[in-house]
Amino acid sequence: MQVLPYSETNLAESLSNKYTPKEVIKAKNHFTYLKDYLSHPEINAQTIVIEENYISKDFLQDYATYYSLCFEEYPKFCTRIHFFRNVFNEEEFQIQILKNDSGGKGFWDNYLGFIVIKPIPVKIIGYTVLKTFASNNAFNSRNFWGIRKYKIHLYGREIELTSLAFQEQDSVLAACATTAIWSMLNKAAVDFHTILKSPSQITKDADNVSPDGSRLFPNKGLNLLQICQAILNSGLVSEIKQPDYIITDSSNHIIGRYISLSYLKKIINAYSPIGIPIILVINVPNGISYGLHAIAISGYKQKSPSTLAPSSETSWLSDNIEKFYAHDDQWGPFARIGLKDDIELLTPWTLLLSPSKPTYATNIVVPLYPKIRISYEDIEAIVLGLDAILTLFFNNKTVADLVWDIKIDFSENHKARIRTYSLDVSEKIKRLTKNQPKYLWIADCYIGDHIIFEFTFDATDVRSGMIGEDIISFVPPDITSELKQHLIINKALHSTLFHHIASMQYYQFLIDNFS
Amino acid sequence: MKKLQITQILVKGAKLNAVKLDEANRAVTKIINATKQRQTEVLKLKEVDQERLRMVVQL
Repeated sequence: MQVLPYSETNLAESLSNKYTPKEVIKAKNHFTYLKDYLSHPEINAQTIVIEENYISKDFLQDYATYYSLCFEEYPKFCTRIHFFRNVFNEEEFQIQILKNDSGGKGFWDNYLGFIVIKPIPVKIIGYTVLKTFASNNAFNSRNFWGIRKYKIHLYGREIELTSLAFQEQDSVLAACATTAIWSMLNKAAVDFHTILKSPSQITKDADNVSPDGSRLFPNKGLNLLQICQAILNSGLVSEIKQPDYIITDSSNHIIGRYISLSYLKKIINAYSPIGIPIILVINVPNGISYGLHAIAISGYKQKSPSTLAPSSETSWLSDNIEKFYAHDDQWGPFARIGLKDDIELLTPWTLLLSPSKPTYATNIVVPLYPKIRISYEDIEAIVLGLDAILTLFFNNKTVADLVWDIKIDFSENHKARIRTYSLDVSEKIKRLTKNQPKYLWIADCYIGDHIIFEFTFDATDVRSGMIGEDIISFVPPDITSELKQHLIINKALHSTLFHHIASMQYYQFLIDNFS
Repeated sequence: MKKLQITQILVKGAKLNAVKLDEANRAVTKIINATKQRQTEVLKLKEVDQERLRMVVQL
């Protein structure tokens, strides 16, 4: 054991190993990122504790798969370095680890997490769990929805930390896609009882050979089909989201297909309540050219609803998302991703490398529990119809535009929210005691910062059916009764607005539930 | 979350009445046609481009 004061030099020294001197460490993107992260006022690391000969189960499996078979005698033991926000020396630390469970609680509250240093060349960052910046699910705050609790054992102590595990690709057993899946599974394994595997196991799950037909290890990356296959073999399914934004040259030839920021924000916002990190495939500047890279998004920051002038365009609350946070295995955990114009992402690849070139999103891979069968796009199509009906009914008489927020959530979370709603007791009891599917799509319609209607849909049903579950109205009853009359007398015109084989059933669902 | 007052939703003095919409009214047909167009575009996003599935994510 070694205790060192936190400094850039000591950080570089701690991260180095037999194969990777501190000069090489200092040139790594991870060092640039981690020194900024650990010295940020919200983290403020002051002390480093070095734990030698640490057995990392994760590395051990990769070691058995590959490194143990090399001629070079790679060690199987790692080093684990821990960070604390308080200042102490080795003697004081020994006193703290001797205290009983209740003693020294305040001391361990300063724990900031750990980094496992793998005994291999250059790609040294192994299993890493670091404290996040402040987070909650309120507007205008950082909301890390893809994190979980970790129980960390250090010298007989159990410390709890909420985070999402990170590691860098070793470029042998895992490339970026494997590592993004590994971080995603770290959350899903707890919430959905899926299988948490080591990077080498995830890569093996993806396919028997590399995308170019050559051997799987050393790994040269995965294609989208292989990413989905690896996710499937861990117990989840995937939805792939396609580019919706096309760039053409002066001759109208397509020169790029990207995911627009508007679509990206809708998807991240919609699936975030489930809590599984979402894999984003990005096109990043890499020297003089670009290359595809995968990151795992686990958080965002969203402004509160604002008052927009009524408009014929449908407005979305997801547009208020200002930035994302993602595990980028070539930089670090919870990397901030800014958003610019229609399609540009401000990733570390753009901001920290010179010359600065934009990053673009090309695909989104949404890992899901298999029982979730209805896609976001199915719900958006229905909501577009609802927006048109309500826009025609309100006829520019509202104080602000209708703004929609579409999210999928566990029905038990929805019931917990219903308890806080200002509804009649009988209305609450009716909803709380009603059997519900495990997952619901919820579409909230806002005027300004007030929700006026909440529509719920069964996320586990058959797309061709009418999947409406409930409508909660927060507007005065005379408005609801006028709306119901409006629906009845305009049935022929409105009922075509659902773009669905069960259009008439959807329309009847509205009439029945606006009472 | 509380039940809302009319003043929080509607502009001052506005009253909402159920009225039969005129199918020939251009403003009405414009909203309906634009909605149908957007619905088609949104559902088209579900069609996966098979070629793109083979792009290798490798950095």
